[in-house]
Parts: sequence; C-alpha cells; structure tokens
Amino acid sequence: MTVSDTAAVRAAVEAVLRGDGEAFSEIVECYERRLFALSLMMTRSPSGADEVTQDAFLRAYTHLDQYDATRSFYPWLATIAVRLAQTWLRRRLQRESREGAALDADTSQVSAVDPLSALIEDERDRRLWQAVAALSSGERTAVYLYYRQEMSVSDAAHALGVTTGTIKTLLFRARRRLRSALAASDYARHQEERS
Amino acid sequence: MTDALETELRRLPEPSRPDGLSSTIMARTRQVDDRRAAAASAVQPATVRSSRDHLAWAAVIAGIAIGSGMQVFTYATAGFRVDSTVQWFRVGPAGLLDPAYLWPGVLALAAGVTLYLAGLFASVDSVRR
Repeated sequence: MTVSDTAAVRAAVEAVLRGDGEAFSEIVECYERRLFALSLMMTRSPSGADEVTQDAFLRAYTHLDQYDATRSFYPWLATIAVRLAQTWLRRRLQRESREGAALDADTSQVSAVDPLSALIEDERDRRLWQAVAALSSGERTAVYLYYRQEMSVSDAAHALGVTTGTIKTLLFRARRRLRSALAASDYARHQEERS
Repeated sequence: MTDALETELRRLPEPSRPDGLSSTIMARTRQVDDRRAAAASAVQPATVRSSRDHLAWAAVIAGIAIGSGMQVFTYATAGFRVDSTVQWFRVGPAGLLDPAYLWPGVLALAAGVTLYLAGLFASVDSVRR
C-alpha cells in the first residue's frame, strides 16, 4: 500500500463522518501495522507502542471532523501517533527520573536487547534494524517516516513538529551514523570470520 | 541520488502488529459512541424543559407587554395615568370615573396581570424522568 489513500479509506472516512462508526474498522485494518511499527520505532517498547497506536486511532476517530479531506490520511494519522509517542516518552523519562533509573534511554544498550531484532532472520536486516534503533529518537523517527513509510520531508516535518531543514539535518546525520555503524559491524564480522 | 543504504532503509523490516489490536481499537471506538449517545440522551430532557420554559417566559413577557401597553395607551389617549390600586375602587356604577371609558383598559390590564402571574408561577421543571 502506498502513502496515498485508497478509495476504500476515503469512503470509510466519509462513512464515519456520516455516523457509521463501524466503517472505521476499514481504516484500522489498513493502517494499524504501519502505525504500530512507527510507534514501536519511537517508543522501542511493545506495550508502549500498543498504547500509542490505540490512543492514536481513538483520537483520530473522535477528531475525524478536523481531518482535511484534501490531504492524505496517513500523514494526519501519523502526526497524531508521533505526538502521542513523544508524550509517552516524556512521561517515561519523568517516571524514570522519579524512580532514580538511568535517564539516558536513547543509547545502544536498547539495541542490544531489542526483542524485535531477534525476530528478523536476515543477518544484514537485523544489523540495519539494530543500527536504526540505536539512533537518537528524532533521527530514527525521521528515518522511519521518510524512508520506510515514504512520507515527504514536509509531512515528516509536520508530524515531528519541526522545520523541513531540521528533518534534512536529522536524515543527513542518521545516514552518516548508520554508515559508520554498519561499516564497524561489517569489520567486526570479517574479523570474527577470519579468527 | 539513492545509494545502497537508502534502498535498504526503504525496505527496513516492519514488525507485525500484536494480535487483537484492531478489535481492541474498535471496542474502544464503540465505547466512545456509547458515551456520546448517553450524553446526547442526558441533554434531551433539558431541551424539553427549555421549550416549556419558553411558554412560561412567553406568558410573563406577554403579561408585562399588555400591562405596559395599557399604561402607554392610557397616557396617549386619555392624558392621565391609570392607577390600578386606587382607581380600581372608583370605577363602576358608584365610581367617580366614567366606566364606559375605563372598562376596556381595566380588562386588558387584568388579562396582562393574569398572564404574568400564570407565567410566573408556571412549573418550569415538570419533566418526569
């Protein structure tokens, strides 16, 4: 499915606006996987992603009258999810600081124990996923929105609440860090194979 | 220009969603609908009460309008003020004023006062739940 909405999604939006709440299931079916993946990439917590995805769909449902039908649906939905995920991350940081836990949750320690990476069979894909997961929150969200979810720079900027210039900078930095991380990983693998 | 890294990023694996996610979401949307329906039905008696209030208020305003209208009419036509508390006892066969002149005004004033009192004491919260 591409970023542009299908006719079914547009019809479902119109039906929900007319009062047919069950038509919303069409939208959920269409976008739940993408939205869950985005939420997971941001929160790096399956339970957090589940919570954010549910809340994002629910907020979209209750505020559907504010959706501009001349624009694509998914960027609007993704914007809601990104804002909710940012709130979720802030809350988690506050909770961790109250409880005295380590504040820096954005480091590579997460990638080492990332449960999703274990589900990826291909070695190269797994290393790429781990490298992306180890990026800062802003970088990996920008990468995921722009590359994996094929959103435009301006849509990604709107979703993150930053300028297009900031998105370009985040993407540039992310690519540089990913190349460096993957090169280091390749070198380490070669060394292992030789020894 | 797209390089190998960017191509790989475009096909980054996407994790599968948890089971039952869509049914949970739809269940929550139904809860929202139920809450909206409950809120709408709670507003309904207020609307009914409001329409009854309108009748009572209309009666009060009509009474005031007729009473005030009579005062103005009396000023405009007779050049003196009808004192309802005093002249009431002076009208009629034994009164000092001409009954033929005052009776229509007194009747209209009485109608206005009646309407006013009816509206004033009308039940404005008679909706039974």
